[in-house]
Amino acid sequence: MQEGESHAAIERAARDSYAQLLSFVAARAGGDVAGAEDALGEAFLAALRQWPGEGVPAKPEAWLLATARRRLVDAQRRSAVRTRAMNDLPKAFAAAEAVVHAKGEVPDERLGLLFVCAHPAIDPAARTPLMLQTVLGIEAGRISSAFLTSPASMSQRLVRAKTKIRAAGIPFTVPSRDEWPERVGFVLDAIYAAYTTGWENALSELPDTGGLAHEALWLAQLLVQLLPDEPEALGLLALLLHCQGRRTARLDAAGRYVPLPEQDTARWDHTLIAQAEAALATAARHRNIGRFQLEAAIQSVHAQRARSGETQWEAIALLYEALVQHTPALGAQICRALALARTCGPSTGLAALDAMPQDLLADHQPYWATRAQLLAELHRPAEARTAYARAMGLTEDRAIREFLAGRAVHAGAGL
Amino acid sequence: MNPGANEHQSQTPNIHMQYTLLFAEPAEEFAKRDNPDLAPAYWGAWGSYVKAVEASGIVVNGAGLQPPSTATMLRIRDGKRQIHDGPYPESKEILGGFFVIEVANLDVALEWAAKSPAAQSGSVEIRPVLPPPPNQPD
Repeated sequence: MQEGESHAAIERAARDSYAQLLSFVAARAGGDVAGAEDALGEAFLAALRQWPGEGVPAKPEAWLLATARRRLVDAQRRSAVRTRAMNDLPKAFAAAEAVVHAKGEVPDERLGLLFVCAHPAIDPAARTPLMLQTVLGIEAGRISSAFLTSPASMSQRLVRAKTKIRAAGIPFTVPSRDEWPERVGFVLDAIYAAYTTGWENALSELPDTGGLAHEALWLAQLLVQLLPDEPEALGLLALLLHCQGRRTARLDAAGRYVPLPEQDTARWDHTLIAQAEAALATAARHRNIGRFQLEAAIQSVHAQRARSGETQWEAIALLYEALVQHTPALGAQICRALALARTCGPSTGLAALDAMPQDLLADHQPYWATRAQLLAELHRPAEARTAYARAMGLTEDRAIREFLAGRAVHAGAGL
Repeated sequence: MNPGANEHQSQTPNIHMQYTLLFAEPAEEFAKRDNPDLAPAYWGAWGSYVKAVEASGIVVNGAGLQPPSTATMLRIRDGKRQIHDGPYPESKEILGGFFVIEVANLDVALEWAAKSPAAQSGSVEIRPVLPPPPNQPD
């Protein structure tokens, strides 16, 4: 009973305050994220050992900070090397302790940490992993498997990024107004990348929760809490909630892939979808449209099929038009072509695909899947067969491969 | 620093960092220095930038550099001095000058780098200056 209680207390402390303590300390220790992480990690381990026997201390955060500081000082006493930077970390822990004793908790500076993780001076491939590790305390091993990289290369990437934060003096501050849209954009991109990392790869493993989806949602919710007036943060949250609400409906009972317009709406999570709609409505009140609000609005139109029974392709085509104007990513252009095919006919959609920069599309799976579908609808089986083969060869997912093979046979373009 | 004294500040304000801004310019930009038609605009842009940086009181050191054709390369191999004319290796962008500045953090250094003419014509590398090595008295 007591042991369970203290484990719960440690987990609560870890979830609620790990990133808060880390942000506060690292910002005051010359950006020494790695050092602050190590010391805090040791303190949490000590709590796991001691609290079950001794009981949970009255101020758990103060206990963790004091323990981290004492261990640091002990370790430094044993070390032969002396640098000025070594004093920064114990001082920063002491400062955090003083604040906890005075106010009961450290101020929430996690926003600064999010901006550090997604700073343009940080390797883009390290931003999402860094955020997952520092803000959520996720182990490097789990991050590396979600990103399909070896643990060694992922930990190297993280170490390099943390070294850069300290050495280059990346500030734990909120960016200035003129840099704001771009810098917030990097934070949003990094959170979105955490969600999509689990999206494609985990399809066949459903109903597994799927990669880092819950963690990405948590980060999006945190960002909305920290930036309540940023409509794009609400837009990202709405987008992720929509995707999450339909996650399990992507496979039918037999494990077959079902494309969005054909999904059984009864299998959607309507609570999550309602939360998504509420977030998007709040974002719209700011009257400052952006990429993620547009993407969420598209998902919102798809979600309305649950009530109306049909997909409003005209609205979707218009929204994709706006999205492509705003952010001409390949994925958006392909979806726009598909929406055009639904509103103006498959030949219009195919023409839109033909107008895309072909040199970038050789390895682009969604392009070949969409192209195959439109060629099949235009009764051009030979070309459809080639395109289906390309699309199948470019997917890592069993369910999608089988789906494409089925469509190819149906179109008289069987392989 | 007295622990807890700075508890309400999100950054330790008295710790400043030194950065070297290395200004690299493409060869054609560099050539403007010797073109009577283009030199005034070239020097005018650099002159106003240098004045602005100096007026802000952040400069530790700095210099413009003469062209690579004036450079001499030296290395010692097997105890012998090898001296060559010109820079090595040949690169598309040429180091035209540098500043060492002392500012609060990378974002401030980036702001100053962005204002330089080289940011438009070439590129600016922002390198933190090496802090004192371990085991040195503070």
